[in-house]
Amino acid sequence: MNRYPKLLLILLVALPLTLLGWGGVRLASHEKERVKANIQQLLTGQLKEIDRSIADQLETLAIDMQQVTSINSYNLEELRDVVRNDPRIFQLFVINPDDVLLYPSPIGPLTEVERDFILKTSDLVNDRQLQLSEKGASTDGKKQNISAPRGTGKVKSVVLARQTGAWFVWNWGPGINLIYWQRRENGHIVGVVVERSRWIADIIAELPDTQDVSQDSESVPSRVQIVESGTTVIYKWGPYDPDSEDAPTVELRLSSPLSAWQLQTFVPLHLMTAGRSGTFNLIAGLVISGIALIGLAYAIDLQFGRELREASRRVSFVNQVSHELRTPLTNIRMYAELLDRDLDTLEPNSEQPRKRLGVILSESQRLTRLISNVLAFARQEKQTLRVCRKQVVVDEIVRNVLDSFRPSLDQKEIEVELNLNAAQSVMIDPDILEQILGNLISNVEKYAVDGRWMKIQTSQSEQKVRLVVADHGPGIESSNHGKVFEPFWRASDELSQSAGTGIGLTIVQYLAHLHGGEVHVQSTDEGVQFEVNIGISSEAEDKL
Amino acid sequence: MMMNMKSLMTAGVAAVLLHVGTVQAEQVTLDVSPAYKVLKSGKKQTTWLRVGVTGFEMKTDKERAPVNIAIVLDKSGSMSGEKIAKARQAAMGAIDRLGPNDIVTVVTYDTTVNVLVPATKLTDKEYVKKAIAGVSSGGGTALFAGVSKGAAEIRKFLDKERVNRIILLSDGLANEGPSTPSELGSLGASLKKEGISVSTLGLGLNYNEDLMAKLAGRSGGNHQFIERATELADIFNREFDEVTSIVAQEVKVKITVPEGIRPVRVLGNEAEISGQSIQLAFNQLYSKQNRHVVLEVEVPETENGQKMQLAKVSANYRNMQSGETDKLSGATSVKFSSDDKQVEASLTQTVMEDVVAFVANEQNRLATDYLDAGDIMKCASTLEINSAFLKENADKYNSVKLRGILLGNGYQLDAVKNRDLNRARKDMRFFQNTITDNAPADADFSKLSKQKVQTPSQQPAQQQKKQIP
Repeated sequence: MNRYPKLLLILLVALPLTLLGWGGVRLASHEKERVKANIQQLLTGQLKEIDRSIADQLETLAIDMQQVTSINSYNLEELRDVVRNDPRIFQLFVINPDDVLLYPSPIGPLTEVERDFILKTSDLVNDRQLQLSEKGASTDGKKQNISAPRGTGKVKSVVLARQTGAWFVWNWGPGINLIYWQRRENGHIVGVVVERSRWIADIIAELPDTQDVSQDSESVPSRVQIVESGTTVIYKWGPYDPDSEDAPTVELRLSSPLSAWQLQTFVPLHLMTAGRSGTFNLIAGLVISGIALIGLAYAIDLQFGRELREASRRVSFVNQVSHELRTPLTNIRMYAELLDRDLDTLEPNSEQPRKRLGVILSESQRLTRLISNVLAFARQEKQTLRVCRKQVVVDEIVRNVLDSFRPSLDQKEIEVELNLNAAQSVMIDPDILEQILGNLISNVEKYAVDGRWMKIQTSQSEQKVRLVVADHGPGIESSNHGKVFEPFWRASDELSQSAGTGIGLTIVQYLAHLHGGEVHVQSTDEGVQFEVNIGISSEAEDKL
Repeated sequence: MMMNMKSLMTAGVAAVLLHVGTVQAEQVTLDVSPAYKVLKSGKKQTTWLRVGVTGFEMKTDKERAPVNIAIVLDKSGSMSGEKIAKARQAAMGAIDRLGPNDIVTVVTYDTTVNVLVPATKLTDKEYVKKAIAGVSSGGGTALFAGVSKGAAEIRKFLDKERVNRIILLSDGLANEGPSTPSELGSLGASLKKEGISVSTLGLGLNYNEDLMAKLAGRSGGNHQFIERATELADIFNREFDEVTSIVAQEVKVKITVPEGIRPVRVLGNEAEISGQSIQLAFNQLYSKQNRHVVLEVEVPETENGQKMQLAKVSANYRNMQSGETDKLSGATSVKFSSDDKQVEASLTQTVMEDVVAFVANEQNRLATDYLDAGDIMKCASTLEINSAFLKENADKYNSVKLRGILLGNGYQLDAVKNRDLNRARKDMRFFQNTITDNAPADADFSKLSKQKVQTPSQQPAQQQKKQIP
């Protein structure tokens, strides 16, 4: 019975926390994805910007090279002069309509550069690569090797202006080389190989450099690099230094003709997440919810436990009451049967029947008190008790009550000392007084039998009646003085001491309060004494 | 065959000034000299002629052309410590020598490039020096990108009136971006066409001498091998001495040889031979500097007593003091004789010295190639043959210049024998570049390697008679 609610409580805490955590993680990862996507988009945008500027640069170069190649006469010296003086040019070449290399002519005297050119591009010329790409372009419209004229607004006129020319990409030496070529109206192909080192240097010159980190520490540290064919780094910039095995955060293939080049951006990994605050918020939220839920569970457990204890007390109370009821009832029945049997052999003036009647009477009185107590307790809980004042003399009531206890007191050999000083008639509820006194005496009878002594003392003033019951019993520890008035509390839970319902003093206190008075418990040298003060005036009654 | 009116021209040295600009302005002189003024008749033979230009003397510092210079500093991890400190010091010292009309760029590079001081007129020296003082080292070596950025800055103020130069310092192998000698060389060649030259200063023993030599060589700049960081300031000073005393730029020389004579090769500078014409260019010429090439030609069989024009030379250059483009021209011819003594007596010794120096240089390059191929024995023997060749000619002509080169060659031979290959190789590249560079005639070559000779000279290799190729 105990484990089940605990399990429920654990579930009560764990289940919402799990849900909350799961939701939080989902939300955080979603947020992370979103931030990542945003950053990637931003970075890709930057790379596109770079791509565009490089494309513009090449476009400018293409325009220049178109001018260079727009020639219809092919004088050796003039061609050489162009090569000699233009820093961007590696070599010019002319192929005649019969696909024969006219310049630099393999049969004529060659300069070193020209020889170099012929060696490097022999396949290009012999296999008619340019011519093939030309046909591909005219039939398919586009071919991989040729830069298709870009249709972006501003460049359009330029494209029209140089619609006869195109880039061709050819691999030799350290990597790709750019060839700008066009077919002239006379059928000749005029092309120019631009100096690879030079156009790379020019592109690098236009790209950003790495400024001192201290100068703009606020911006996100990143590393951008241009990579040829996936491996060879051409240029890099930016203060961030990624590990060599780090994958780029974003990648972008450059537009044709530099499609062998890729732009890559690296940013520190922690920048890709929503930041530490996201995780921190999640954990903080979970902790707070956890604490709240545990607090709630604790409160529920507390309440639940209290009710459980209350319930178990009630059960034991009912058990006690039943037990208490049975003892006098058994006695009454037994003595009644004895009396009945005695009636057959009745001897006149025999004391026997009277004694038995006395027991029956005292037992029934005990029963009455018990029932009154239970009723009083029940009423007290329902708060339906009423004070019903009458003109009575306190001492008389004391004597009457004591009389009713006399047989059992005698039997238990308890000496009673009386000091009664309240002989004047006062307005009090005699039932309440009787019940208070009965409970106190009954306690002595139950718990202080060993003292074999009891003292009842009364006194009265204009406002109140004072009643003291003292004994020579085991006493009550002063730390427990407050607790004795709690319902079901008993000084010892040992079974030998189990007689009694545990509600006597609770009722005493309640009745005293009801009657505008109070109860005090005091330890004396040899035992304990209870002092009850009951108000005489009717104010207390008015309160109710 | 070539007997026509041209043969009437005087034999021997002829340097003719065609263009007369501002009368006061001094001119670069062009000289064309054959090794032998008289050739042996009746046989097909090979001979040489030297074509040289000499800068005039710059009078005062006031006249000097403003410079447009980019200092490109390696700040890779290997530069840390003394090297970077000395480099900073040298660069700052160099800044002090420049004036407010000069333009300075400072670029640093490691894994990436930082244009520390974009091209700017040097009106605030302290600002530039402060920027240099803040340079610290760390990272890779993005040499190509460093030069690219430096060139881009130079280009902002590219002006024929200025001396445009990149001074590149590196102590390591280029490992970021294009890094092969040929790629850097191509970049250098392209920059040369614009009138930008790159001087490369290789520091320590770990840089790529091929790359640095090629970049400098093809762009018309100097290449220096600086073994110790403490020498940096000196080298910077020398470089700036040169830069601030340039009197002519874009010196373009065209040599035309008559039909029948075959140009074989040009020694001493990158040149373009096509048919009967040879074209070459020097980026710049500083005060009193002599730069020259030797042209090897094959002369057809000619009869005794005949005269033949060997070459016609025209040149033009930008005079950095007058701001004008000046033109020069010259020609040379030879006589033929059957008398060996006459032939022998007609020898111009200085020309022959240059021929020997260049030929020895080619041999030295060959030795480097053997070294690269891993054939150390062959490398050593090539150097030994070269030493013998140099010694023979130095004695024959009693030449200080050849003895200087001999000393360097000997040092390299020692280094190779001691298996100090890295140092040897760097010294070889440096030498090859320096000799090609045509240092002034009074240059003391022995000085270049004096400080580096560590072991006493080995026993002189057995003299081997070596024919001049």
